[in-house]
Amino acid sequence: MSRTQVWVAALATLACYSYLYKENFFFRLAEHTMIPLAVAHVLTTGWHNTFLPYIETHVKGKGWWWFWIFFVMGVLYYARFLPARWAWITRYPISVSVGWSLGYYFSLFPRQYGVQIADAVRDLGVFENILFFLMFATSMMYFFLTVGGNSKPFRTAAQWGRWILMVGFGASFGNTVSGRISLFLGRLSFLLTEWLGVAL
Amino acid sequence: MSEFLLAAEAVPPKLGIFRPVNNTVFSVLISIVMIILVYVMINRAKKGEKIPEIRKIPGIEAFEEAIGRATEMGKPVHMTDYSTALGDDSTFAYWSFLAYIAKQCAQYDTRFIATDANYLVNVVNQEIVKQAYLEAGKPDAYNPDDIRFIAGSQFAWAMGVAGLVAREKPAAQFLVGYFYAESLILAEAGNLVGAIQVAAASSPAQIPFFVAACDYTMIGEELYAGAAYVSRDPVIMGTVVAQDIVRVSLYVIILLGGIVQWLSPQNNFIRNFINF
Repeated sequence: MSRTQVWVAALATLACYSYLYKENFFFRLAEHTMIPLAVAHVLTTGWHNTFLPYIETHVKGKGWWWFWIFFVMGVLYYARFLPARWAWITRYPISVSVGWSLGYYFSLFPRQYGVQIADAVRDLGVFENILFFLMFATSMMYFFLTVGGNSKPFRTAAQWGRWILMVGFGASFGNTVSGRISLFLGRLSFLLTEWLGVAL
Repeated sequence: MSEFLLAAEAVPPKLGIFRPVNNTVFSVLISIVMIILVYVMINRAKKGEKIPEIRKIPGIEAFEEAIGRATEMGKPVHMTDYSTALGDDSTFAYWSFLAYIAKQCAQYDTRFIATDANYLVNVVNQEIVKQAYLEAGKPDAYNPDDIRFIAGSQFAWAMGVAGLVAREKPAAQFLVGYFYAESLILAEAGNLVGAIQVAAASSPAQIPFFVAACDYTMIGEELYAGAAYVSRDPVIMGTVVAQDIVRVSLYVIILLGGIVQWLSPQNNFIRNFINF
């Protein structure tokens, strides 16, 4: 990085961390710079990595003229800015997008759960598997929404399941926090070494 | 290596149509059962016939409590999610909560702000909130500028939400949907302004942060059940009930599969069936 880039990165880092004190001018400056940059980045990469290659490869290259239909549908999203008499048109691209996305997810998801279900069937002759099985059995019970609510043994088992979940969450929390501290140390190291030139 | 590959025969599809990998036929069967059950349960719910009751979800009452607190304090209510995609199941749950909370806020004349990171989801959000205000009989109170798209980039969005929360100082914050590494940033931003916070999240890696930083947290499936509970929409109710029936059935299959695996590890017909 050039010296100017290091200065920009260092000042932006400090501006972001200044939020910990309170919302202030420097944080707002960083925020209002970062958001337009991110939006502009998405627009630019969308144009260069999606729109233009599709036009070149599919529309011009393969002659798939019907790709323009999707373009028109995309443009229809802006219909909501038209007068109320025409704004309803925007619901058509929304419904097509939602329907397409649902179909896409539906075709992808079932098998991945099938793999998990098969993995949960384990030999109960091994201690680790018995432990896994007990934890699985009780924590799953916590997520039963329509059965067992009135049965005391069921509720007790589900409560055990909740404790097991909490232990798992605690472990995950600790693991992630240590990862975050490591990220913070990386940033601190950048400020001290690259920006301030302190030898560590 | 290439000679071996050339010599290897292509594996024929299972039953002539399914990809020759594990779990394909079983997954299709489960999907078919699920479709039939969802259809039956939705129809029963629509006709007002009896369907299994969904148990009370802890944290549901907190929604009204939080909105009530914001109303008393004269401060806005803020709701957000990372909303990864239009067709995401958590996005659909988010929409149910969005409609419910927006309607409650409209009824109490409390300012409602929603932020998200997906511009397509934002279009739907605006429509839902507009409809909610219409249903509450306050169409003029709807302000499209309060239903905001911040940025598609994860941390630009998180930064924007944190800044907005610090400036607007909402009295209640709802974090509903699927979240990633930004979860603690959002929850801490809410904490700093003293907002009552209710989270409903389905991402296992982020739930711990909400449990630690929010007042109420709905975890995993409770997000979807909560969506059904608050909306009372027969379509969602029927779907959640059907899903629960399938969940309990699969649970029983797994329990039996474990026992059979213990008794006869070489010939576990249940495991073979799942893997088919």
